Parts: sequence; C-alpha cells; structure tokens
Amino acid sequence: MTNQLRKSIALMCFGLATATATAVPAMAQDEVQLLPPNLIEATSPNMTPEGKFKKDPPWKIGVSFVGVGNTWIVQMIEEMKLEAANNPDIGEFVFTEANWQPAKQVADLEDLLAQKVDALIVAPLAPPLVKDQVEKALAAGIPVVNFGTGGDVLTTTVEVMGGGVRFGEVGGGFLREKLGGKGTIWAFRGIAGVEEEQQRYDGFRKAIEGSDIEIGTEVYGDWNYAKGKQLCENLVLSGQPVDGIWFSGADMTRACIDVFTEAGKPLVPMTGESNNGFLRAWKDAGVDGAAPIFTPGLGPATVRAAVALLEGKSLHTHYYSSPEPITNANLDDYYRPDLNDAFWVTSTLPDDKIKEMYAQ
Amino acid sequence: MLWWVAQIMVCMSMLELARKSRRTGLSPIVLALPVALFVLLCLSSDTFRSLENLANVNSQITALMIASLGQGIVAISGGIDLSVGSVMSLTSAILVTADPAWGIPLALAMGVCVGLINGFGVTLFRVHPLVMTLATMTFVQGVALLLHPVPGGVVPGYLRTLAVSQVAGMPAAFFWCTAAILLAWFLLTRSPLGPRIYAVGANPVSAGRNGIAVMRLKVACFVLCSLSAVIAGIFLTARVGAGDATMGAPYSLDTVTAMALGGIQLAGGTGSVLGVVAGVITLGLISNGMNLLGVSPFLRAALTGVLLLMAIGLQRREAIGA
Repeated sequence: MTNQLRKSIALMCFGLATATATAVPAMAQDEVQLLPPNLIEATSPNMTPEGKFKKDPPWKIGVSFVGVGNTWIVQMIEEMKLEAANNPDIGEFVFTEANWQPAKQVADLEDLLAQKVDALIVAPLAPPLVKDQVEKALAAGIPVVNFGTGGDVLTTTVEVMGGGVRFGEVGGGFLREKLGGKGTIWAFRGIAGVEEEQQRYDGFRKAIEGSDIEIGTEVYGDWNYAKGKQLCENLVLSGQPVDGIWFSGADMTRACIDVFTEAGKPLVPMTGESNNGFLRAWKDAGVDGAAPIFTPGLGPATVRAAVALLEGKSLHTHYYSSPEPITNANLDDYYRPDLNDAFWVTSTLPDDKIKEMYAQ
Repeated sequence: MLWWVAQIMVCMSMLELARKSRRTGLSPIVLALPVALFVLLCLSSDTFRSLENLANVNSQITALMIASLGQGIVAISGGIDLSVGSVMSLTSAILVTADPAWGIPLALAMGVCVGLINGFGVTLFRVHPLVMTLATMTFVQGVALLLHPVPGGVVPGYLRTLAVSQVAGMPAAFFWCTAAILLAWFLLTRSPLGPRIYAVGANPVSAGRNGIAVMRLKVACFVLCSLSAVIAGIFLTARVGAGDATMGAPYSLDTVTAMALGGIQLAGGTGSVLGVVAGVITLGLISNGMNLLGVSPFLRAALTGVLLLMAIGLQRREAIGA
C-alpha cells in the first residue's frame, strides 16, 4: 500500500473522528461505555433523561432482529446472548428474527409487545416498516434501542449502529485513491431492498462522485459466498473490463478473490469486510484491499444500552461505530491464523469462547 | 375470543360441505392440527390466551389468508401460481408511488394483466404453470424493485384506517378475513363456476368434452388468484404502514405450504376453502407460538419443516378424475 493511500485513509478516519468530536461534548468519566472507545462513539450531545426508564430487575428484554443467514449474524447473536446471560438482572432474553420479511418483523414486534417486555431492541429491515410498533412501545413507556439508523423516519430512545453510508464511503474512497480517480469498477451489492445495503451503496457512490470512475456492472450477490462466486465467474468469463471491485461487505470478496485466482486473472483492488476468511484470502492472495470494520460487538452494545436505561442511567441518544478500517498496513493486527473463516473481528467474546467456537 | 368463536362458526358451516365430498381433500389431520396447536399454546403460554395476542394472530395471518384463497382456486383448477408474492410486492410499490386516487385501480389493473399473462401462457402457449409463473414472478419482482427500490413512502390514510382500526371491538383484519373466506366459499360452492373449476382441475379433457370452456376458465382462475394477491398486498402495505418492493416475497411459497397443509393437492380437482383456512391458521399459530415459547432462531426453520412434513405426510393422497 502506498504512503499516499495510507495517508488518505488515515485522513478520512481523522475527519470522521473530528466531525464526531466537534458534535459531542467531552464524555464524562462515569458515562456508560457500550464498547471500547476505539470501536464506538456517541454522535449526539442529546441525552436520555436519567431515571426515566428505571425499573426493578429482573427484566425481560426482547429483540427483533432482521434475520439469520450469515456468519456475522451468528456471531453477533452469540455475543448478545452471552452478554445477557452474564447479567443476573436480565430474567428473560427473548430473541426473534424476521427471516428478512417485513411482515414477519411486524408480527415479531407485536408478539414481543404482547409478552410485556421491559425493553425492546429492534434492528429494522427498514425504519418505516417498524414505525408503528416502535411508537406503540414508546407510548407504553418501553425504552426502544434501535440497532440501526432511524434517520428522520424512526424515533427511538437510543440508536446504536455502524456500517451504513460510512461503510460504503471507506471502500469507495479506497478505490478512488487506488485507481487515481479513473477506471471501471464492478459493484457487488448485498440483498436488494435492505436499507443497510442501500446506505452502503449510497456511501460508495458518494465517494466516487465527481471522479472519472464508472460503474461497469452492478450485481446483487446477497452478501453470500456462493452467489458472489457465481456472479463473479460470469463477469470474469464475460471479459468485461475491470480496474477495481467494490463490495457491500460480508463474504462476497473472498468468493471473487477465489474466482480471479482460479481463472489466473490478475487481481485488482477490492474492498471487503472484517471477516477472518476474507482476511486470510487477502493475505494469501496479496490483493490490494481495504475493509471497514462492522463489529458484531454492536449486538452486546445494544443489550448494554437497554440495561443502562432500565438501571435508570442516562445515555446519549445516538452512538456510531466506525473504527479505523483494516488496510494492507495493519492486516496482521487483525488476521487470526489460528481461527477459521467464520470469525469476525472485533469481538466481545472471551478468547477461550472464541477458540471454542472458531478453532480451525 | 369472539374472533375465534366467529371463525369456528364459519368453519363449522363449511364442515357440512366437507362431509359431502372427498373432493374437498379434507382429512381429520387437516382440521385437528390447528385445534391441537391452539390447545397446546393455550396450555403453555399465558400470553397466547390474551386478547391482544389473538388479535395480533388474526392480523398476522390475514394477508396470507387472502393470497392463499386465490392460490387455492388456481390449485383446484390444476395449476400453481408462484407469482403471488411478487404481485403483492408490486402492489405495495404502486400504492406508495402512484397518486393516492389511482393506487388501487392501478394495482388491480396490474393484477388483471399478470393473471392474463399467466393464464394465456399456461393455456394458449402450453407452458407449465410452475415455469410460467416463475417467469412472471421474476419479472414482476424486478419491476417492483425498479419502481420503489428503498422501503418507505406514505400509505393513503383511508387504507390505514381500513386495515388497522377496530369495529365493535373486533380488529379490521377479522372483517378482511371473513369477507375473503365468504367470497371464496361462495365462488367454489354456490356459484356455477365452482363445479366447473373442480371439473377442469380433475380432468380437463373430460371437462372440455362436457362443454366447459377450459381455457377461459383456467385464465379466469389465474386472474382471480392475481387479484387476491393484489388485495393481500393492499392489506399488508396498509398494515405495515409503508411500501416495500420485497414485502410479498415469502408469500409465494407460504401460500403453497398453506394449501398443502389444507389438503389441497397440486394435481388439481381437490381442495376446499375450509382446508385453506385450516392451513393458514396452522402456519400462523406455528409462527406466533415459536415467538411466545422463545424457540431459538436457528431451530425455528428446522422445527417448522418437521411439523410440515409430519402434517403433510399424515394426509392420504387421492387421485380425482383419473
């Protein structure tokens, strides 16, 4: 990686950090820490009122998640459950998943509210789709932690998120820098219609705006290795020109590295995500890459937020995770050769648990 | 509780019909399964018995009920329609992007078009219904995503009122369900069209020789199915309160599952409204029950599959009109 590139990524991170720092007053020592400061920051000076949601334990905490289906989610759920299990004040932890179906998520939220949960954590498929149920919960005095970004559409008690527009911007900025502002990029998107995916893509478009970079092909790989590989094979065989590839994350980059290697085609700069399998492929293939970190630790962070609210503590209304991305320069700091491909960095799991779950 | 009493009364009135003919496909297991699940959940969860939860279950199954009734009509006529989910999704996209005054007429017109394309494809061009509707499913889903790529938008206020309000203490969903069930029941058992649909599904050649316009009837079934998907899409969009171009995706297979649970055979000629109602309630109770009992998300799909296999495996299949 060139010094110029390193500098640009460092500048980008510094810019984000500065923007955040200027928006939020200095944190007090006794503030609730949802994750280590290098992983998450408060991005709003507004605070929830102290004691507003205080309730005597044991608590019933309900979670409505979008769906299962990839290793990041599996790890995130394990981290959430462990966080809840380690807290004796949580009497019941009810986890529901919507199988990526809007109607199912609405039904899940209705079922959780019927169970009289004390706090609700919701990861919306899209903010407008859960607005009614969230408003009902808030009207009933139930604190709602949004595991996502609500924008102007969804108002919740606290919002905890990473990824989104900044995720896409990091990859887009890397490719723009690497290609010198011109060339053809293939864009591998996630699941069509998912809000998080659209935000990542918007961030990518924003990063290449005003350059001479054109998007040669755009495909939906569903954040999935098998589908990503099939699509990449088709594109490689079609002979379409490519100078770099932007990925909406998950396991599609590893698939494309495999395709390029198998086809004997020279690797082009690619963006990825902080998955150990991709880090392994990245290191083995020696590709030029950049990977934003979307930590599964966000799951336990939402549990900690819900607990803090039920304890009567005051929280910032918005938190955002945008750690320094992984680059060729710091790849070795994150890659774990002793673990298998399903592991995601960074994790809140204890090391013995990580080794138990992800040993080679 | 009133909802369940009313629902059971509707079912009981149709039970009479079920006794009369083996063409209904009804077996003891079809009717016993939702009742057994209901009793089991009543015993295992206090929350399940609450009025709030029962009203929730009613709202949760309504879109599936409406779409499945349409799917049932096509299945009885010997076809299958995989495009219902995409039609629901496109309906959702149209409702939040078109002028509020034109949303519903446009969606209905779209439903008629999709039904005609499916119907003519299957009859005139002799494409297998599975292949034909798979093609329209893909096309319609693509159009929906093009029209409304990001979830959101504003649902007309009158639709929200029609879908989520209460009348005399009953959720609006109850009335949507009841109206759809009665319409389908009337069509299949009280209108001249009903026996013809069964006849065409059982043996189209024989039906044709007896003067039934097979092609016209099959096309009509596909149109009715697409229209029911449009109505289901309207209800679902109004209930969620926002448009989403993938909203209907799971319904293509869910409607087929509900039919299978309700004893409707894909070979055609058998099936009943009561079977569809039983199948849909079974699916709704499984989903609601798993949430209330806190079943692990990783176990859920496997457990649902096992329950479906057991339920369907216990039903004896019969050849009608061969």
